[in-house]
Amino acid sequence: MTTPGASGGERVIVCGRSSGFAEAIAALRGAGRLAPVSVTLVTEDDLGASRCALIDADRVCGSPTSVEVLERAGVCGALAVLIVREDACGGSGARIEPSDEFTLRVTLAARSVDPDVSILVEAGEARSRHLLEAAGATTVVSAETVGARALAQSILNPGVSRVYDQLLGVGARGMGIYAVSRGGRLAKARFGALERAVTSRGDCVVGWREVDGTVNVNPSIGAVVPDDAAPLLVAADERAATGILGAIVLS
Amino acid sequence: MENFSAVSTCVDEVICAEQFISRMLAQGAVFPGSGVVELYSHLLGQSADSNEIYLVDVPSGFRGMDFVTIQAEVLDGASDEPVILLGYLRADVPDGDGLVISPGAHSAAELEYALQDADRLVVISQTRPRLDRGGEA
Repeated sequence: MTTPGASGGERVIVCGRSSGFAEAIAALRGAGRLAPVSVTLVTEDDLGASRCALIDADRVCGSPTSVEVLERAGVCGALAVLIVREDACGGSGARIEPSDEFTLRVTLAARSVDPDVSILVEAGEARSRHLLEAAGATTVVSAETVGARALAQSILNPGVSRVYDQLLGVGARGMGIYAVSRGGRLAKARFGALERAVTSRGDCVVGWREVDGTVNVNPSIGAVVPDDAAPLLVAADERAATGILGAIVLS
Repeated sequence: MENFSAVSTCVDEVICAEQFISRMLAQGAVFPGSGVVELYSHLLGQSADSNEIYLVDVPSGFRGMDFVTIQAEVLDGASDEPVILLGYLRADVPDGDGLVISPGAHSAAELEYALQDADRLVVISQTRPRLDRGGEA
């Protein structure tokens, strides 16, 4: 067992007992964040956990449904907790699937350890969303919903899955979408002026995020960007996104 | 996903939901409150007021222009329904490798590339857009 380092810095806790956590940890490494983030895996899956040595993650062996184990992993004060669903176990006719029962128990335990930490959960079924949110999840993404919608959009619009791949950082040309605080530089700017300034350099802005978390995608060009909103910029990483916003001149 | 990458198949696209969701959640984990997960959920939504990503033909009036010029033309001719240009897909590069998102982030050649007849534009819009100048999309 490797225990989390005491080197400081921000830490993301990954909980799960399926093969999915390897993908999640790799994605965390490639998320394009300016400040480094360390990763701690909490799992009972010794075989899977052994692979973490290859991707430079600390690990805590034990059930992530245990409050004591999560405390030992450093959930309290972590940047975020990412809960990966276990492999599908088949239908049971119960209110939620066994895979989501596990994520529900982990969510409850993590929330009891830290009432403020951001908890992101991969749910197996869309109908589990409300239960997971009631248990304390900050963000719930349903594999069932996302997979079906991505497939549907690709059928109607061939090639679109490759766009998502590139936007989600897959491959050497991977990009990302970053919310960059504008620090008052764009006071009372209309979205059209912001878009014109950003696109004049071949870059892209797709909308903005407000302080309450509301996301406005593809607003009209006459819409005024709220004072406290952060433009959503397409860039290779957070540093590049910050550079785009710093370099623009509004007409 | 690695199980698929080395296999030559007849399929046009492979969607790996696990990879897709892992990357969405990873972005949300390292940038808490950034709205990135909500953004992708919005783009994948199917409500009347949600936006989607479309690949559309390059309108005839835009052919031969580079991406920045087309962006400016679209902004100048903005209609009631807003459209965001994300990038383009070159038809002469096989296997989708000609996809260029946000060309300013890449090489000067990709920024200055003049779009051709069979190329496609990558856009965000509420419905499949009919871009100005040339009319067909």
